Amino acid sequence: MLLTVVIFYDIQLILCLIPAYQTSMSGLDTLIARSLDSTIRENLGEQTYQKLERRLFERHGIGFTQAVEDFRKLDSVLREFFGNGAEGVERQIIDKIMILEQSKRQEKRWITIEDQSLTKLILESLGDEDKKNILNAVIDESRIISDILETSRIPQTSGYRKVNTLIQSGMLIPEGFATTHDGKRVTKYRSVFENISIEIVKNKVIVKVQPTKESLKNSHIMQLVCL
Amino acid sequence: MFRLNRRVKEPAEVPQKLEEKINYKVFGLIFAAVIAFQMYLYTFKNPDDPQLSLIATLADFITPLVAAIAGFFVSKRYWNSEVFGKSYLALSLGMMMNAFAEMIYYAYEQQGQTPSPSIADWVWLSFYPLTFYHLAKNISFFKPKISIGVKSLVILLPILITAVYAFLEYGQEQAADTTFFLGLAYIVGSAVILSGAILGALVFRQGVLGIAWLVLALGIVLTTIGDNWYSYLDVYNQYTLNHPVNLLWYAGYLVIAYALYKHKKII
Repeated sequence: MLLTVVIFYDIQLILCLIPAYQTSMSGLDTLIARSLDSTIRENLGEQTYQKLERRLFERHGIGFTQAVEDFRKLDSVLREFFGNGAEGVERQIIDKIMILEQSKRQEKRWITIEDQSLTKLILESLGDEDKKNILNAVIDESRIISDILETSRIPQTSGYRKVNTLIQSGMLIPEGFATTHDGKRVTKYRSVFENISIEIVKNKVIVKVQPTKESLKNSHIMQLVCL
Repeated sequence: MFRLNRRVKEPAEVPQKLEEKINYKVFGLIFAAVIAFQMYLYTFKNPDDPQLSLIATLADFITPLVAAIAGFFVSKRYWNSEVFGKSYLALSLGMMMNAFAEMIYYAYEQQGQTPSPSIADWVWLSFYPLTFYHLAKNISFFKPKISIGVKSLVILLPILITAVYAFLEYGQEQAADTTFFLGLAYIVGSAVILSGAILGALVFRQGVLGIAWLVLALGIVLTTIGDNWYSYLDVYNQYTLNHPVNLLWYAGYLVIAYALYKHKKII
């Protein structure tokens, strides 16, 4: 029996007041980075993982977790060891996490999430009513956090906490700035995905996402591997 | 107590670029050893001397065994990993099969039988799919997309080697019998793994691991030339136990063992 439920979330967006260090990385990269670490260990082995980590520390002064987030540094170290073979490693890693559907329009490509922890993260975000409302508020345009909370009618205290969680998990990405009445510059936020499709086929939950053009463009990982 | 005169080691400088070089002395040592061994084999005037047979078989057994042991060490290092663990185990099993095949063939010889094809042939031939698995597993993981030009080269090379052999062999024997197809199987196997090894060296060439793959490809080139040369010698009944073709196999396996050591050292 095939049960298919397709839910399209025309996610709307957010604005935010989060510190700059959290905004240096693409939302899509943050999402992918959550799964890269374990995939590298699984495919290349613990010894190789340690060797790569040692080299990363020597060359860039960062650990593996940080390098996974800064994919260009990880890429440079992989290339040092594997030459052109690094491309294959990266592609394999990404393939375990997601499948990029072929499309003539690059910016309108759907991505099927393969990684379970990533699927769980997305479902958890959408399962929470407040988080879903936050994401819906920033689907089409970027907003500052106070605007998001106002639009989605969420109390300030829990609202800020939930927005922060979404930013940290990469579901919300910074996009531009707004100036408040007192002259302060605050960051505006937007949903990393334009559309999310959830299908249930024979007890298997399949999550498909369509990243925004900007998040695809700003993702180092997607630029290196998929595009 | 803190000692003022204690010597503090200078911290090692972090290299900007990782470098790994081939130690040509190792190559020199390998080739010197096998040439010296060949010279020793030449001292036997009678090619059917039982002592020559025993010594040559021992060398035929030990050289792939050395490579097999090196392969087991590498696969043990990456045991839990999907690519390295399995592929290096397959390569070392392939080498082990070559060593076993030598012993089986020696046992046949001792009984005064040299059937063709024999169990030894099947064991020898198993080296090729196992080595092919090693190469394919690594290449498909590290380079899933290969350009049409490289693909053509990789496909054409074994076809060319096989066609030349088939033409010469058929021209000599004028019969497509079991011997012809057995010889062809060796040629096809060695040509395919030669092609794969060259492709592997191309995939990794800009990284430090490329050195290990270059050495591996060189080892496979040597054994492939050996296999081809042997096939032609067999066609013209010119093979002897102290024929210089053996040099290529001995050197090839030892070079492969060196490649495996390099791999273990690099990553």
